[in-house]
Amino acid sequence: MRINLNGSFDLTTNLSNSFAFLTDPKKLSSCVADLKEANFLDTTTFETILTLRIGPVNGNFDAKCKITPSPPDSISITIDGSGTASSMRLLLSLKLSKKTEKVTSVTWNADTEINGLISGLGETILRELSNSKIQEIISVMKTKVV
Amino acid sequence: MEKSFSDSIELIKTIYDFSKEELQILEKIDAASEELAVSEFDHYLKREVNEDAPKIAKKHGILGLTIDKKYGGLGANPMISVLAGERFGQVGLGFSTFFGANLGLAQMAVQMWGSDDQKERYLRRATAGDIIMAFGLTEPEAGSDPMSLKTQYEKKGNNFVINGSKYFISNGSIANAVIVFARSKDTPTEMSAFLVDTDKNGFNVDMKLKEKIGLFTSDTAMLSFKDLEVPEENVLGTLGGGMYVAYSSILNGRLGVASACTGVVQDCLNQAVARARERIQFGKEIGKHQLIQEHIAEIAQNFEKARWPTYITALRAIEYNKTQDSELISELNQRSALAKKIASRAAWESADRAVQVFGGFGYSLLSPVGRHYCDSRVTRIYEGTDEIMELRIAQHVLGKGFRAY
Ligand SMILES: Cc1cc2nc3c(=O)[nH]c(=O)nc-3n(C[C@H](O)[C@H](O)[C@H](O)COP(=O)(O)OP(=O)(O)OC[C@H]3O[C@@H](n4cnc5c(N)ncnc54)[C@H](O)[C@@H]3O)c2cc1C
Repeated sequence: MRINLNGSFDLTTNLSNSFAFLTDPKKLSSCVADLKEANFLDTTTFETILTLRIGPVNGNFDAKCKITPSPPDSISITIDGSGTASSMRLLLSLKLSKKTEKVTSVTWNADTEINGLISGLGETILRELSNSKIQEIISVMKTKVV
Repeated sequence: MEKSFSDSIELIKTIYDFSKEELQILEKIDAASEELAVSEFDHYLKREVNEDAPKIAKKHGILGLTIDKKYGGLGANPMISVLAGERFGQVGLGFSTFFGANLGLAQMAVQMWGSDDQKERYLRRATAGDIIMAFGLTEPEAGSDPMSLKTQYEKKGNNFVINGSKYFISNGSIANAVIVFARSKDTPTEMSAFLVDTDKNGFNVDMKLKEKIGLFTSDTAMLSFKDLEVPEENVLGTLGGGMYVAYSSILNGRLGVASACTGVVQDCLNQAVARARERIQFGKEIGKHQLIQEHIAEIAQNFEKARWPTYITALRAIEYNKTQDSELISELNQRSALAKKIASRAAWESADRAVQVFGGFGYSLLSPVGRHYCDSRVTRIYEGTDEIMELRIAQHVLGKGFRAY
């Protein structure tokens, strides 16, 4: 099952700080609430275990996340994961632009492919759940970026 | 907007002219449905009544969909109502049942039969989402034959005193007001409808029925009344005219069930198609196996079978609302029975086929089709069983004198 989501949000810091934050695996991973542990492989890659809670499904998802920065304003993030009899691949593209001296606008596009058990939950549910998870991450991000 | 919903709207444009306002209402319905889907899913899996659903519906301002603007409603006509029902059916029959009992059965009865005072006290508040309503007709010994109901009322001073019980009442334990049908103790041939506040002494919720095959997010309750006093200004319609109230609501209710079932078929089709395109067995997508194509083709046919009688009935209901032509009532009775019978059967069969397309995962309540499978069975029972629908259809076709019950 393929799901595409997109949107935009503002970070209250300048473009270079925003870029640095979003390309730092440690900072980025700290914005994900359901992340159990993270193993930082290098400056752009980390492995992690995501705890997945959808209704009674409460499983672990082994995920590998790779950040590819294209300075000064583009970032692409891929997440490959498997677990709970499912697999998923997420390609997240971020485009940053200066809104004011202290505000950076981030436009994002997420293409997700989900297979296995989780995909059977159906597009409506997965789309809404993914969207609420992304909004949750964005709101944490906003409080952490300075 | 959800794609198949906007496809339905586009198709209906060939037979109906939507106003700009109506299209905006449908946008509202779609936005509410998106939010309801996740909430319903969550509560379903916990096997609990979704008490968030009325709040979400209130937030989106849709609880008075077909209620006059004068009372805070959206003033939608039957065509908009069936399209909304179709969208809610995609979300699941739990919400549809809540919505149908609250609006189609109860609020619409107050709109049609209520006094100005009753409309202010009940209709306006239910439309605003400040109260929830239910419709209490069925009793342990009076289901398909409501004329045999045993709940009694008796006049005492300016009040009526009600004793008896009701069972399988949707929203029964979460409602603030229930329309209760009862028989006169002094003149047993007389049946009346009463607006009963559930916080009054003598109103009891005997059981919240959790042990159901499905429909977990919808409240179903058994109620009893012990010397329950109802003021005379709470008689709905005329004293002795309760069956007119009941039948007019049931007519709305049947069309509501038909539209929700159409939505179920649509969702089964969407889900089965997505699964058949993705799931690979024997080296190819299961949708390329011809026996899976048969299931898909049958569900697609069911969708067409279900929706057209529903749309046509809605158009005829619009005509009736305009002309008040009494001849149309009998036609509407037959058409709504026919639409309900066809669509509920189509929903149940489609859910069964969609489960088959999903394979093992379809047997899980995690899958939307598994939930439709469990929920859709009741649509062949409530608001009139399959058999009663057939009798009504046959009677209309055969003509007067062929009433089989
Ligand atoms: C989840 C749920 C929610 C409900 N919500 C409401 C509600 O909000 N308000 C409300 O008032 N009621 C509600 N009902 C009750 C519902 O409308 C009745 O269950 C339904 O009308 C059938 O009545 P019964 O269960 O007594 O079955 P019965 O009438 O006992 O029927 C049993 C069987 O006999 C058949 N039968 C009966 N008479 C004939 C005949 N003349 N010819 C051929 N076959 C016949 C029926 O078709 C059926 O197959 C609800 C029911 C359920 C399950």
